[in-house]
Amino acid sequence: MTTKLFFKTLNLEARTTMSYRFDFWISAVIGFIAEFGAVWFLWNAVFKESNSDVIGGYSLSSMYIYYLTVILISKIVRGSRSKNDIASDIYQGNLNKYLLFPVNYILYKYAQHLGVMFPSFIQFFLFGVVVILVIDLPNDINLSFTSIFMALITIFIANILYFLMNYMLKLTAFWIDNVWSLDAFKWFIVSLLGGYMLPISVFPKNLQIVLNYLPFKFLFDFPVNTLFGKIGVEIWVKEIAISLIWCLFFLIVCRLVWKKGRLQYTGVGI
Amino acid sequence: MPLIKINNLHKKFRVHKKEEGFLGSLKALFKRQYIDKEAVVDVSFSVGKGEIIGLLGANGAGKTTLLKMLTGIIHPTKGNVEILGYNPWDRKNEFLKEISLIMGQKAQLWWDLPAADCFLLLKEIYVIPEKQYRETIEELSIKLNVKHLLNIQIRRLSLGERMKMELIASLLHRPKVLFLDEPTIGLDVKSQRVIREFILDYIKKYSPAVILTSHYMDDIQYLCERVLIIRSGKIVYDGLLTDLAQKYSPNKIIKAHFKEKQESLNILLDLQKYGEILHNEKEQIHLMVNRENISNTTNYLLEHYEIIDLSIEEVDISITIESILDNKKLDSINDY
Repeated sequence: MTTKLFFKTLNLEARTTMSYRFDFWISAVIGFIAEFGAVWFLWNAVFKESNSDVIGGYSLSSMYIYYLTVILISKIVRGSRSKNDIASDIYQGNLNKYLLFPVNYILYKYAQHLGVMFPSFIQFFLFGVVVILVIDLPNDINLSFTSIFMALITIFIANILYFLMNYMLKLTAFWIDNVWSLDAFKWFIVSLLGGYMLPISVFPKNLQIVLNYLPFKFLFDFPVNTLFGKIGVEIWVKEIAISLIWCLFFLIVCRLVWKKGRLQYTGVGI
Repeated sequence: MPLIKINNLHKKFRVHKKEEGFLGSLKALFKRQYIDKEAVVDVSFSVGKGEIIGLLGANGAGKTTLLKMLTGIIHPTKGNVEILGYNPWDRKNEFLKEISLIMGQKAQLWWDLPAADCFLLLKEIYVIPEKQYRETIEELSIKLNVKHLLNIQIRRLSLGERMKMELIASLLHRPKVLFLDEPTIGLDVKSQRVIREFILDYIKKYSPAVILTSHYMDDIQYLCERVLIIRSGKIVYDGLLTDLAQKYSPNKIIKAHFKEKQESLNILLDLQKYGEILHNEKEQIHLMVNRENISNTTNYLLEHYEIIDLSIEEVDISITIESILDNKKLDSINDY
């Protein structure tokens, strides 16, 4: 796959996604308000009931900021649910077309994934600018150029990691007709253990140790904490290395599953 | 040297059988029943440069399965495929850049993009040089009369227009091996003709090896000299289309034009001794007669009746093919 094709695909996908302007703005805003609203009421109640100012290292206001950020970051990490779903390619037989093209399927899909993600990236920046201008950041959040720069790299890797995990799961469509139930299960695991539903520091200490050895925290918790300046450079470099190893691991698994899966493929639909 | 070489190709599918109704679904949750289906059985043939082969068979005979194996989409259970010296399953870029599969039933172009954008994307996918790309688009879009439609989203085109775009798309990289799976399905008579002529044109110009499947005999007769007939996954005929009639149709048709209308029952009974009366209207009688009895019958007719005109014709090729497809006794025959 040539670089030119990679960027051409990315560009095309981004343009198509942005051409659905209604979807782009309305669904983004409404979804955001709904999700954030739920969190707002929940944590308000939790802090009130517990009579403490700090839970898991977060004050109420920094908890809000955490969710604000994690919701935005997750949009970039996940990309939106797209029509380019790998499982439906397999299920409906669109894969035939890609098998005939002299391109690497996984790279092609990644280019599309990045393209769909791109508009979310713009949203992230716009919302981010608004937040910084409007809200007084609590003391425990130290936003700096270094932390923003580090966070961007972290988010980029989280995006790759999420893509690979998703890709691996979706490849099971070679064997199972309906992977969407698995998909829901995956999101439950990933959002719970990755720090999307709750910051990982809220969990019991033992569980936190276990989560440290799993790849999920690199998706949400780690990028947010990096952005908030809570991670020192030295530790950051080490963690980035570990997350890259996880990426490599999933890439290898994906290749194996792809090889096995193709043997099962019947090229449905024609 | 043949461009396509296939040896003893087999494909067995394992299909999961589901009983009907709610209870059946419930049962299937715990225990699944599978049945093996032999889609392609021991197929061997080869196709040379510039040769175009018609692949004929009823629905479900295994034509498309065969094409899927030849293009590397599915894995053969047994046997060898070699195309341009490559094994399709390996999906080598060099191989994929030299082949094309056109499917009349399935859109391959990107639904929400205009054709022009699709072509640009394909240009990058196949790494087509700028000059060749420009020339090909220009030439093909004029030939198929779709130049004015290049900037319209694919999903807004009519079936025929879309098919023409699909054809252009699949020929942009000038493939050396071409697989056409029912390229004219669902098209009107004129579009069918245009596409047939267009394909023939491409073959004359670039002499690729082509395998064509179609249910329209016109396509086959216009484009193919050699045909393969496939029945329940087996090849039952491999040879020239023109030989097909002679070998597999035992009958010919005598068309006799009598001087007067023949109405008396006696005459009809008389003729029925020689063969089957297919048609009896005004002064015309069409009689299907066994090849061996042709001369006897014509002599008899000419001696006993006043006949203005008499002709002997082959049975319609599609009827012959139909009878081959239906005939379960006919064993595998390779005449090529």
